[in-house]
Amino acid sequence: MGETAVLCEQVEKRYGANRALDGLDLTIPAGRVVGVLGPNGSGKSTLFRMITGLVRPDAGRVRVFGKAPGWRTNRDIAYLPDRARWYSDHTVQQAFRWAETFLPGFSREEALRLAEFMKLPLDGRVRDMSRGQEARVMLILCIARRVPLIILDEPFTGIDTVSREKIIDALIDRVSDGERTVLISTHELYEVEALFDLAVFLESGRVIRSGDTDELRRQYGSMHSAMQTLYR
Amino acid sequence: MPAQSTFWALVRHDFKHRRRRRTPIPRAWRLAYVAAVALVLLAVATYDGRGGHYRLGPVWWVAFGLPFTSFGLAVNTMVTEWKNGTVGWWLTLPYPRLHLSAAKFVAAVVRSVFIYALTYMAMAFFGLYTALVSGHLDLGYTAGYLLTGLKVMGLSLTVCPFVAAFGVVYGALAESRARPAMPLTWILFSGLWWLIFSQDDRYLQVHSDGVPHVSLSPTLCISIACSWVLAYGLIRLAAYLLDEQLAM
Repeated sequence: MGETAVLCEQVEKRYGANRALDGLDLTIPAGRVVGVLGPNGSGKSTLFRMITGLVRPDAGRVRVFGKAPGWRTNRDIAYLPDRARWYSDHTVQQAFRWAETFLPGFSREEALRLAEFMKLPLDGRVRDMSRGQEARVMLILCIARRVPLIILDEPFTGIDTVSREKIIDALIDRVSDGERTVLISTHELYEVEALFDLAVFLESGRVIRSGDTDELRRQYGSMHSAMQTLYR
Repeated sequence: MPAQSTFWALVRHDFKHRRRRRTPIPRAWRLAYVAAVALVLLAVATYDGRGGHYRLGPVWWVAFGLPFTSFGLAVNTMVTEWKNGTVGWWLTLPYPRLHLSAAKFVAAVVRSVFIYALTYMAMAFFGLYTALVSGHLDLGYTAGYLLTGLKVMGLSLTVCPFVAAFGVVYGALAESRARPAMPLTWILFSGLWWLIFSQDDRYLQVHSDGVPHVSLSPTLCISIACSWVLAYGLIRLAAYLLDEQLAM
């Protein structure tokens, strides 16, 4: 059996009366691209925040490559937060310099290549960019890192079609090499499902189904049908 | 990158003043406002000087309002991470939360030093200009005026670490599950402020002409040292809040 990237055992997280995660059990093997799917409020972002040590579980156990999440394990994680923005005073060049300084494994050469591929002006200031361009900058900051785990929380929210296509092309280019574990949560299933090796379906803070995407397609006809059936 | 140089890189990053995301006031407008204020001050200074009112020593009392800017700077550097949507990047940096909060603290203190220096230079210019216009500018007056300002500004600056640390904690509290404790922190802060600096008449006297006079004393040094130790404790508290008590 291969290495486990993320392990969650009976994880619970409450916000007041709301249970964001409710006895979540999940094992994500290393080296796979995993779609973490589910409706709003199903616990996807809370799970990602827990893996990156932003929040702590009220109960249960979380492990990232066998260690408790925290600032040390974040060396190995490239994380694109949900609804994130970038420092508006930065140019693309400055953002890359920032990443070079603070984010282990960041490759400037790779970032420049991706910026050219995504048609980003290096001297462009983030405050003057569209949301789509800003999303591309943030995606580059994540995928230009050579780290074993990449987490992208809703990378397509509020992004125009052109930017979305650019981002997906870059993802295909960078993350499908089997060397890294990639977790992506998204509602735009049609466009990215081809990327996924595995899918995890969450509802009310629990895993209601998980498995190999080929197997899920065989069982439900398509990933979209699987979603429709599971969240009926 | 070694931990120490990463820390100073964080300080440099936090030192940059970041406004909340909204339409910024154009630079030309900001410069116009600064020029207008400078012109008004110049006019007042000229009027005062010509009227023979040249002893501006009491203006140095303004120094005791400046620690509040340190508080504002520290709170702002924390909460803008949330308001601008960059908090996820900041808090998942692979560095201890103590480093992250300490970098914000140091950046706020360094910015305060710049503000103090600018205020001192502006006050020095207008004070000496007034004396010049009134025809009373001489070496003795200049030295006395500048030295008084230096002492008062210096005394006020020593309070900044404590106030800035309180600002960092306050910013962390605002985004934590301990948010209901915010009014309590104000009560504690006021109490500590009073406890540490209540005996100000021992080191700060007011001359008959309204000019503040600072005298160094063991009480003053102990008070300042205590406030710095407390500042360190507050930074640790902020790190704990960011580590264990975030409401996200």
